Amino acid sequence: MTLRLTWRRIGIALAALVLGGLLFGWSGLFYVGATGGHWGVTNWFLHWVMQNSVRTYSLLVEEPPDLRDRALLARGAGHYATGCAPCHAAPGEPQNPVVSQSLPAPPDFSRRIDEWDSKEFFRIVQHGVRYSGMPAWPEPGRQDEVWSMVALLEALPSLSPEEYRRLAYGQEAAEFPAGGSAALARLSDPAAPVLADCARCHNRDGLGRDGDAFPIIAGQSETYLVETLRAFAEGRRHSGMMQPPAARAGDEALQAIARHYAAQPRAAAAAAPADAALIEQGERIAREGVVAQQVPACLSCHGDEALRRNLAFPRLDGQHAGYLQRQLEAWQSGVRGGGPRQELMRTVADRLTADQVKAVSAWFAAQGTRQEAASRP
Amino acid sequence: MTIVLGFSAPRPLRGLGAAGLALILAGCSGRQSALDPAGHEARVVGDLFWWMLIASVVIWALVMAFSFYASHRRGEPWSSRAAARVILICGAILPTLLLAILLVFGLRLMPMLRAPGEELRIAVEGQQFWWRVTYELPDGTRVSSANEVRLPRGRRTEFVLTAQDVIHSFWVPPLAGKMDLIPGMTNRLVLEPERTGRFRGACAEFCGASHALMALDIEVMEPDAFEAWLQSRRTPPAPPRTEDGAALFLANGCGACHTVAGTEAAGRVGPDLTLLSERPSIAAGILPNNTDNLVSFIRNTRDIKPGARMPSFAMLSPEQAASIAHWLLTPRSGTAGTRRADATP
Repeated sequence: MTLRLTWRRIGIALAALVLGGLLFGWSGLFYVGATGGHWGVTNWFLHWVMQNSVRTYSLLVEEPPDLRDRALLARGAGHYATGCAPCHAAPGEPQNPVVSQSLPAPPDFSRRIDEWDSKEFFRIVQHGVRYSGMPAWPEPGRQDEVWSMVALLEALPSLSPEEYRRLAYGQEAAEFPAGGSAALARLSDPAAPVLADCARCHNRDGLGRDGDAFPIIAGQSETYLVETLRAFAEGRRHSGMMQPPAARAGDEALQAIARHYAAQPRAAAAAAPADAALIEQGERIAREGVVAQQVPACLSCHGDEALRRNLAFPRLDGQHAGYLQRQLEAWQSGVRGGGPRQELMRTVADRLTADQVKAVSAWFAAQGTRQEAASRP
Repeated sequence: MTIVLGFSAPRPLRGLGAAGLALILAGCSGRQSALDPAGHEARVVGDLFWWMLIASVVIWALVMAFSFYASHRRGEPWSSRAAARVILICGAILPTLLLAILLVFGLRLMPMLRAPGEELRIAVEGQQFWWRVTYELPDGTRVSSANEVRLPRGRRTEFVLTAQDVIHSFWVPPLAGKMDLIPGMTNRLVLEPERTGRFRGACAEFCGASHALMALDIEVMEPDAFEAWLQSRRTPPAPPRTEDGAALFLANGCGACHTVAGTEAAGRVGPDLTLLSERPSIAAGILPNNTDNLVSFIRNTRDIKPGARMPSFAMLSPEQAASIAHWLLTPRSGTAGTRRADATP
């Protein structure tokens, strides 16, 4: 018997396929339960497609910064404990049996971690994985944050449980029972009070830990802190690391947190030694601006006198140079966002060159140390 | 019957045509017209323009008449000798002669227009999208202002023209021709106004999104009144009194870019706002100077002036902006009010 292919017959066959598929979907016979898992071939195909996609798209990723930087590791761990560990577990903290029953089950990093290179990790953390439940980074533009997560993931297999707990919880480890990250509740409602959540990274004294991993918030103006925390909570200031804790804290707690940190004495950051010419250049910019580039003097808003007039501007003295530099770069690339006055700083930051950013950051960092040294008895 | 624009229009359209013509001609007089000169150079160049226009019309008419004669009236063909003579005289000798006369006439004007100025110099720096104005007095004193230039009648005032970002061009059509402001170069231009009054200048070289919104006010005053005004500006005027606005101005960082003489605000990035109340317009000649306009400019800067270097201060409440605007526009010190009256011709 011969079957003659005609356009008409092909059309009818296709229509029958489509209708049949719709009928099958409508009947509800397709099984969407997570029990039993995929067929072997389905499982292979889905992973094959996903791995190929990650490999190809990772070609677009730029070169990573130095991933052995301890500050990156500390920032990554602080976020991992609340953002990732509830599904992926952590060294010394077994995976929650609830999430291990999802399909696909999130890989359990307390046992092993898949072989990806840095750029592939970056791609997965930045954009998530479709159909798997792996979310994208809350602010994909904050590449610095994504890299710090990659730094942690690469170090994870070699971290002892104790080392991990120190990196993730800092001085607050006692507030967070070992193995607690398996509690899914941590994603939305911290088991410990809000301050303990903040203090995991910023310490209760607001001075942070692990070198310049975290900005110094001690003694910052309360008005500025409240505006900033609200901007994080409402997504107006962009950070995959700060938005989740600010959003889950609630406005009343944010005000209390701002009050607490504003009241802490501001101590100098251990300033990295910077070259004197650089600091001098920074001082000129801070005091006089760069008129030829239409850059006003930083101190006209961030100086002592200006801060007495308007508490909505942040003080910058004694802040880590690295943090200031990253913030200025974030302004320039347009990913920073901020409170109601963000337009002002964005306008000014855009006009600084890379050298000037470095210089002025170094000066503000050194400025704090000097003041502190002078006021110390 | 009147003939409108050389054709006979249907009756209902005639009025419209006449109105249109009136509208077009109205553009020839006024604050920003080269055909209504108020300065020496503009007058001389204007005269040159009219002479050239008249001469061109006469030559055009002669050429038309001659070609009509040659093609319709003269019945017999031209001998090649006669034709060669016509081409030689009308095509080569006559134009060379006329152009030479014009050249001599033009060249004779140039040194006159290039003659140096008198004592007062005014530095004008073009910025996107406004003018920084600095009066440089013979004794070295500098008086700064922005977007407004005052000039004494009958004096030759030298302008020193520079730019910081891109090329601009300084043009006050009733007073003189234009001169470019080029980054890294200093150009000079001398203005000699011949009658008092208010005029409007504009940037005449495309300089960015708000190029069309970059104008400036020129006020030509009697020399005595001008001298009195300039002397009064040598010392900073008493600060305006409304304190709320002053505090808000400084607290919101406005002083980082703007100077208001006599206060702590001493920024040099943006326009000097000292005695803003005395300027006829704000935002470089684009909005009449009043509190409402200033409030909306403060809060919506980049909507009103796309690409402006100043950020919009939308975070200020209308009341706060009004307080700042009111402070900036409060007339200052005793002499401020009388000066205005002197200046008005």
